[in-house]
Amino acid sequence: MPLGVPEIDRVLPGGGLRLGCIHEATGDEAATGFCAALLARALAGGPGGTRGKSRPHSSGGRPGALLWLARGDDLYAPGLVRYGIGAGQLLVVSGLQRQDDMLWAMEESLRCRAVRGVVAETGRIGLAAGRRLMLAAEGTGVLGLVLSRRAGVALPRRNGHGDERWRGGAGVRGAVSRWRITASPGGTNWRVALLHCRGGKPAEWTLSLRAPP
Amino acid sequence: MSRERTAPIKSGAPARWGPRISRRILAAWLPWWPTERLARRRPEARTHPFVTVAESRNRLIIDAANPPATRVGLSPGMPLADARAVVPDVVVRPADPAGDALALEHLARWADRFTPRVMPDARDTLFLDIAGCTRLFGGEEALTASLRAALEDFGLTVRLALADTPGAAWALAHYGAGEPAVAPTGAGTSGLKDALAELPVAALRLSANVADGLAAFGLDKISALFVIKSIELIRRFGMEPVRRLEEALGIIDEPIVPLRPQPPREAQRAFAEPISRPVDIRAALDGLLDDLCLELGRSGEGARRLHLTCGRVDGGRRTVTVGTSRPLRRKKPLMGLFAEKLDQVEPGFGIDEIVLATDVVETIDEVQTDWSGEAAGGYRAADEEELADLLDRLGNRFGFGRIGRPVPHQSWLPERAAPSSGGQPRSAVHPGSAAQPRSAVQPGSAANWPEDRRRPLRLLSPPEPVEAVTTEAGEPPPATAGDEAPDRAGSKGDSRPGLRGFCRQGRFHQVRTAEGPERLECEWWREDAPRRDYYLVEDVAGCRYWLFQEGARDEEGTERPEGGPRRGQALPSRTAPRWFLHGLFA
Repeated sequence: MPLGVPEIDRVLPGGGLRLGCIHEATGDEAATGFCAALLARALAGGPGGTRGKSRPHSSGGRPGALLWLARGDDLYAPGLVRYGIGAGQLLVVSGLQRQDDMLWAMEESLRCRAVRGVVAETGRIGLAAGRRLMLAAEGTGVLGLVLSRRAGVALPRRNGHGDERWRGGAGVRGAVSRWRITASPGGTNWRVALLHCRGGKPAEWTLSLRAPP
Repeated sequence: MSRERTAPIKSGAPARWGPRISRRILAAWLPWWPTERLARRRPEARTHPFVTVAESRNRLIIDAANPPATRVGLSPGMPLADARAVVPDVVVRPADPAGDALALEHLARWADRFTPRVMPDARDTLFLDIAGCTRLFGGEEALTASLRAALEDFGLTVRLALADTPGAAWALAHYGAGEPAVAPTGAGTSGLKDALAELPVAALRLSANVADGLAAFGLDKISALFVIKSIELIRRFGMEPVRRLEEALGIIDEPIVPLRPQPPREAQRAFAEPISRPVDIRAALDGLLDDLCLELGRSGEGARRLHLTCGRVDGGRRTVTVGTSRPLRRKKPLMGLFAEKLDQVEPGFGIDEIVLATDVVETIDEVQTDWSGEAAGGYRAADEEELADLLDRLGNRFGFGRIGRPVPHQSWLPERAAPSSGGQPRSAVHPGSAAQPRSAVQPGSAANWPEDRRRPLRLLSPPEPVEAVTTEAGEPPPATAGDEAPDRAGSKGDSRPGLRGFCRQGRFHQVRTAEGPERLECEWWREDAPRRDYYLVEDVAGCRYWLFQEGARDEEGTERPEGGPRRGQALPSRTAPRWFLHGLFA
């Protein structure tokens, strides 16, 4: 699935994000936005753009459901409109505090053919659980995203250790690619870093969200 | 045809009420219930004097005594000290009326193997409406005998009585001659009059003072009441004796309210040998689901909620309940829902009865699909079903209230603008109408949140108070627009915010740019309407926050009424506006 941003797609193997496997996004609130944008792309399916040439809730493509498995209940749906997820398109399961609940829900969702994309807000996924999720996603081609929000980190700590800590602490085994997205000064800018990608090289960009046409 | 139509009128039943459905009430009175219930766990308390005591006016008074205690002269109402003088080693337990009632309810649930219409009454009586159930047990006598045998197996003493009304059955159970006391069936009011005539008036379930009052007039038998005009009775004793008499005679109806509402559909199995292995339970459930789904299929319905009740050998019952997001009668998903919960059934010594009932049933709208499985509207019915199955599994594990589909709500207040449409199983996936694709899949309505207003991705609830540093302490920043629904005030470079920085969780954030204010208010009819000025703030690190200040002054300089972020929370009356962090942007 191409991201619609040529500079990034060029780096990714196969010219886009692989469906049917798990990707990890870590970072501050920008990672939430990134996941929302990817979900919207998974739903829209066809070419177009989320970042950049944004086509919010395009009606093209096969219909399907988007699931957000939230740890708390602070996800605010009106904010997602900007990233292409319209009202009523997202199913939110909230309050999944326990890790095994979260993993079970994610696996069940990945096995469902009618689902297009799943976001799970969780921190660490072990080797066995990661493999299970991968197998579940493989059969159906669902986009699985693991969003690890740093607790209380609205502000990235740029104290010289922060980057290493994030890179090392990425705890999702079996993720095909690992992203770190942080807010960057200037209104709507993000710093998107591809930390790890199977078959690709790490890279870093600064993206700016254009207003939807 | 015409005979059928005129039949009820010919039979003489009042046309207004229609023919009365016949009832046959079996009353089971457990005279020693409180003590025998406790004695089940204490075998020595069956043969030895045993009493329960309750405290009254700083004395311990006997509440209930078992037969050996009664034989030596202990009786309810006697102080415990006197009882100890008679029997020094009497076994004493505290009285527990709530426990008695609960245990009686459990017994009533157990008794629904005889009839689904069982009602516990007062402290020590069960009413069973056995009309229509007798033929399964080989007649009234056989049913009565088997109930008696089962209760005596539990170590309970029981007196049974059969009559056409609960009142008459109660009277015969407590005061009737013969065991069981039986009033003839179908004899109507006159037959019941004959059966009750010789019983004392207390048999009418009267309160003590009314019974004493009647006795003082020499009205000690029920037959004495037949000849007195009811208006005379009402004048002296109130409605109670008349109402009780009419209930006993079947002149006014006394309903039996079953503990368990009668399910519309039910399937059950009883086992000669108790089962306990999960495989066996699963196989039994499989068969029950076959039966139930077949029955639902005949009527074109589907189940929304199912209860699986397992009756254990030791009399215990376990119920497992699952709900579905839409009417369902396919076996596989239902089986899957139960499979998650079957480990809650603790078989104990084994399960000898298993009942699958559905109490919420709805009609299934069949969807016409073409050969590729695609229905009108371009969505695949199979996908839809699969998604609904997924939601059912999630909902049964986490509760349907936790699954929601946020939809817009017409309110400016951010926390009220996005109620999720979850909450009930229905709204999670259920269709608006048949014409619309019932869709978890496509947006249900065209309405959306306005895209031109930036809203945060995360909303803190409740808003987090922050310490703000403004250009002039205590003054709001210079507002560029103060009307009800202002546009975003220019681009971020233009506005000159007074906000310089804020402190959150002990960290200072220096503000780089701020957009705003955007004034958002509650509907005017809400009393505690907060009035907030929102600012989109970016700090030097690039993180973006949604801050608002409350209690800002208007242009006229009058203080606006403050409304707290939380209802009912008393706010300190301060003139300085207070700042809150309400959301986080990406």
